[in-house]
Amino acid sequence: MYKSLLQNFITTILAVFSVSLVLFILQVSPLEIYNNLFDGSFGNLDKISRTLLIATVMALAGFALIITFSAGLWNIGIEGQMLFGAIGATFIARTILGELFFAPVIIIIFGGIFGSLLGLLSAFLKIRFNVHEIFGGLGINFVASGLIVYLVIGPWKREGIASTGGTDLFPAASWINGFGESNFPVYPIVIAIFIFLLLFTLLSRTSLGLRLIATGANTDAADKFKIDAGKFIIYAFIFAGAIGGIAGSIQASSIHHKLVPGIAGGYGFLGILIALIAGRNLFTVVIISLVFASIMVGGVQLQLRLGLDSSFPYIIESVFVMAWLIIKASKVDAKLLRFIIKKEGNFE
Amino acid sequence: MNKAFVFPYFVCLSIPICYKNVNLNFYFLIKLNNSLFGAIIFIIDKFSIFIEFFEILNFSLFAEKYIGGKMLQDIKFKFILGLLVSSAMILAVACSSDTPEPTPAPAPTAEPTAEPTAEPTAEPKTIEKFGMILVGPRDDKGWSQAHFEGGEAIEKAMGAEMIVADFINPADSPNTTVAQVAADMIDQGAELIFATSDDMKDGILEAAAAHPEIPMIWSSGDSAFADGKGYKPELENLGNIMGQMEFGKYMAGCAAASESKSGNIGFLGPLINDETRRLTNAAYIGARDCWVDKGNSITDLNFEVIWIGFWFHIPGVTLDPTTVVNDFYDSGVDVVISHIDTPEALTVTDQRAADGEDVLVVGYDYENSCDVAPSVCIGVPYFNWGPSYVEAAENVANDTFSAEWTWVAPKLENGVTLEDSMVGFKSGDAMSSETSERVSKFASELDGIASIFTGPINYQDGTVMSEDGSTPSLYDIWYTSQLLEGMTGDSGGN
Repeated sequence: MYKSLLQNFITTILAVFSVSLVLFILQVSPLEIYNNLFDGSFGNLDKISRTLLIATVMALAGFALIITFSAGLWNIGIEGQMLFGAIGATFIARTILGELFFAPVIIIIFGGIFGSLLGLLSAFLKIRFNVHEIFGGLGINFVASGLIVYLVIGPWKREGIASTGGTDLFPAASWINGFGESNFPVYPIVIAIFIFLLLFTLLSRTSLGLRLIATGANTDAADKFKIDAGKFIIYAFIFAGAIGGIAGSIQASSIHHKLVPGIAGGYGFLGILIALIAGRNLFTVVIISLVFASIMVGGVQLQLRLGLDSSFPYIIESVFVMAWLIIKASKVDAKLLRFIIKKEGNFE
Repeated sequence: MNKAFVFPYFVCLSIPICYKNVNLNFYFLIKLNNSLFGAIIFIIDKFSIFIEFFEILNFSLFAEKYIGGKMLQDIKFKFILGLLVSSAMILAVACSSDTPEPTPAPAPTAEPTAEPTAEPTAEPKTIEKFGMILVGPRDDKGWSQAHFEGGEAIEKAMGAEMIVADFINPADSPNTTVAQVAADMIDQGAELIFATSDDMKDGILEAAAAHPEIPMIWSSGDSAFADGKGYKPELENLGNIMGQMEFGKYMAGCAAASESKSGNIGFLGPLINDETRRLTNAAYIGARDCWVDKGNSITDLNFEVIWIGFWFHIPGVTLDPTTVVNDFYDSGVDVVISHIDTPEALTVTDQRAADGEDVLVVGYDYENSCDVAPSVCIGVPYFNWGPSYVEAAENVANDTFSAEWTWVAPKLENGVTLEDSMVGFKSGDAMSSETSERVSKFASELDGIASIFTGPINYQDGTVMSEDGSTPSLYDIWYTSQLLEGMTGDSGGN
């Protein structure tokens, strides 16, 4: 634990170095950029709230993917599952249920159910028809985003308007509000912590988790041990889909307060990167999500204050991921760690 | 040490000169507890000193014996070289940028309070900063660029600084809302905010409610239209500005029909709402008038509208305007009128014309958008936001801003729009002199926006918009509920 944390820390520093280098090539001062990113994402309570809210959504997407990664599955359909969660949330918000005082609870639950239905579809395609989950997931993403566009411009459009700009705002009762007067996203954070603990227990403390990982490690071997791989694939997809759906419903009722076509915000695909970076470490998912969220939220400042192009946050993010993966693949960080540990002994 | 310094701190730590002053106490820490934190600082320390890099290098060469593989060694060498270069560069900037203090944040809070007390009478009042929120890119040769240049007019007139945020729409910036951008701009000292799209409605209403002391303009909106459907009397800081583009669209329709040989006119529409319906209708009436004027029968005029679904192309979400325009030409249309924010129609028409087809196009929004395809561009109805935006900024500077809904009429002289007119029509190279005369003839006959919709005019479903010889009210024009009889296309009804 101690060692892996240290190793990740080294990797982070090296990755930040690489980002700085690229920023230099682009002729902007990294220091100024980091200043603005930090100020823009943690400068005041409102910005912290924004950052945490987005980090929560990203972390949920990352959690969802860790389950499927554990079972050896590439759940590309996460984006679609998030979209479906948002559809579920909107569905509830538009009915009489959306006016109730506990509407957000129903919205979250329905978001989860909708997401898991789509996850189930992926699993079904894989098991019944032997469709690889990457292709199934891709197809499902298209279906989900097509469905949203149809709903936004068709049955759920604003009166007299046909625009893909979004549906009407949800009734106020359906909004997931912040803590008290502020925007501090206390409820999404509670949900994320709950799911974090649940996953942590599941994956490292239960036989269910062990079998799930066994399925992922070697399906044939799992079969020999009388572990029904198909069953665990279904479990993994349902669970991942539910978490993705919850993330989507948080997007809908906490950030946008309406359904817009790109409501998943690319966080599903970003979640794949996060899970890739984090390996199977839930804690690292949280850290990386925070970093990414601060780049996203603080990134607006780069445009407003420094007059940089609006694509800059994405450049920083993608260079960070690339650098991280290269560092991990070349094992530079592990070497450095060993070197340092040796040195530390000397120092003492 | 300000709070913004914390994040780059650990970057700085790795640079010998920068951190020389601070690192001593960290050595203390390491001595105190040889813990995780101590180890981290130690790494950073070792990392930074030039000679240590050679040690790392030596180490990796040593490790090479166990791992083998020349390529790995090569990668490692290059990596460390890169590290050296980057840290040297960071050093350069870190140490140079420490003194000039790049963030301009503190300046605006100090100055505006000082200025009026110092010289209360002499200079004309001005604003320091204002925010401009654009839905698309600032150089789109269309809607957003027209607004951007309106902002530049304020910069020129008052010396104020414009803070720009472009691409603010749910597809390009899914994690940024208008309310957040507005809050950030106000943080930075913006004294006036422009939200320049109909799509920003929810966001700017939220922002105006959250910052009642900051004047805002929601262009093309109706929140300050006292008789309007969306009137928000409680938002006393939110005004609306829109130009009577109906004139421009009328002239565009007239020019298109006048140039069209087949009478098949394609109208590339964005999304469907009150604004786009009334402007499309104005274009149709213009086309009808000029088509008949050429001696043709009204029944031979085919005016087809296709909506793409948003103000501009969003892949996977809207229809692709390039495809739509191509489809128009494939189906026998010879003139396309563009109504979307971006100039795809001009590009496509240019390509088709280069292939020998006899096709022409009318642009939209931006004065110089004909430059995209000069040889096929009949003309462009455009917005000139500058004068109105400068006026709004002056009102803010003089404390005379009020939440008004302004629907500015164009300045026409002999059927030609003047340079300082809010709505203009600029002819392109492809416009014949005959068309030019016809457009100005019809435009000079107009007397106010209502006259464009002089009856008899029926809606698509046969209900009457205006009786024979009468004109509809401003309210009925602003909230046009359907396309007109004779047009082909979706009215967006429920």
